[in-house]
Amino acid sequence: MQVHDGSAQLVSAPENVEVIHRFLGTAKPASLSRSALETLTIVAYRQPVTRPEIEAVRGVNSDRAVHTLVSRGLIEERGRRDTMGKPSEYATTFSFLEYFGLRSLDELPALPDNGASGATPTDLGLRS
Amino acid sequence: MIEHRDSGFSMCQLSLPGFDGSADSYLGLVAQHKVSVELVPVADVTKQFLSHLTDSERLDLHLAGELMAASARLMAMKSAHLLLQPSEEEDQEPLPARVFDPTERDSLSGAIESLSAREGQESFGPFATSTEMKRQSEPRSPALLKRAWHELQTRAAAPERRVAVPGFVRLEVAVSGLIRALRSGSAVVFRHFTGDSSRIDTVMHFMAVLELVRQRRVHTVQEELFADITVLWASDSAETSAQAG
Repeated sequence: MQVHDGSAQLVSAPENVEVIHRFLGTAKPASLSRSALETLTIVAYRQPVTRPEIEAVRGVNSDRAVHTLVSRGLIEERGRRDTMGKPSEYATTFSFLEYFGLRSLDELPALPDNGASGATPTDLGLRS
Repeated sequence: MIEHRDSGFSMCQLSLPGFDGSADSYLGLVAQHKVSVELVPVADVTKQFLSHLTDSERLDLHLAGELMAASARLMAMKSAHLLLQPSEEEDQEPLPARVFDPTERDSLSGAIESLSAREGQESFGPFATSTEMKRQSEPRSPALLKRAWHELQTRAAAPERRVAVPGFVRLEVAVSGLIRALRSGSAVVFRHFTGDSSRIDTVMHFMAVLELVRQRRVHTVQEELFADITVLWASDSAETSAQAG
């Protein structure tokens, strides 16, 4: 069972992915590029996050990566930050949990020690 | 994205290469990237949507709108996918050092590797998950929307009328129908033919009246300019002489 943002859904177990793809006659989705993966990780751990905040972590323009992730349904707009320019806030979706076979955001790997030792998404103030 | 209801939409069956099932399952697979949008036969899907609509006994405007929106969305997704896209790496412009915090990026590097290792361990959720369709323009005035809604309701409740292939009355049928109505003894007001008829039906009935006037089988009366035209049956003797002539 996957739990996200107060909703739950039943899904197949990640270890059955090969069987299900064979049954449906579908191919595995294309892997994410390095920059998309970087951007997705930032959104997953810092959500809700704005594009300038993503760029502040990555140090590069992230327009294209954010667009790719939105079009693949892995992240979505979750309203606007009440600050100058009213930038869009992004957060992960159920498809994000499905793509990585996670049960909830709590299963994201803990961050390494850099002052916030072993911080999980919940520790960072994220909703489970 | 594609939004659809359970009723009606799930009853639309698609038969495509490598897929046989309901439209909502198929669109769910596409929306979740379980089926590559590159392989979606948009023309076939649209043709089967249209076939489903025309085979229905009544035109469901809600369903028709949803099917058309789904076709358009598939076409947009496929077009966007087939267009040459710059890679994310090409799009990366370095930002000034003052807004860049490398320590935070370093702290996330382990997490990036962990997520990368989990790629391909997918789980499959419900296929028919509704996804939100973004509004492309601001809503129009409430009065206009209300009028449009009433119009749609009226059209949906109207007796069966196929819209895919517009039917029309042939001239011979219009002539015989007019003769039958006039022979029953009453005069016919031409406005009667313009009420629920299409424009082409009205033209056909007008030509039928002209034809009968030419044959002197009917005569018409119009009291004043733009008043109703009343069609009256001529006497049988006049009809006989006209036929003999």
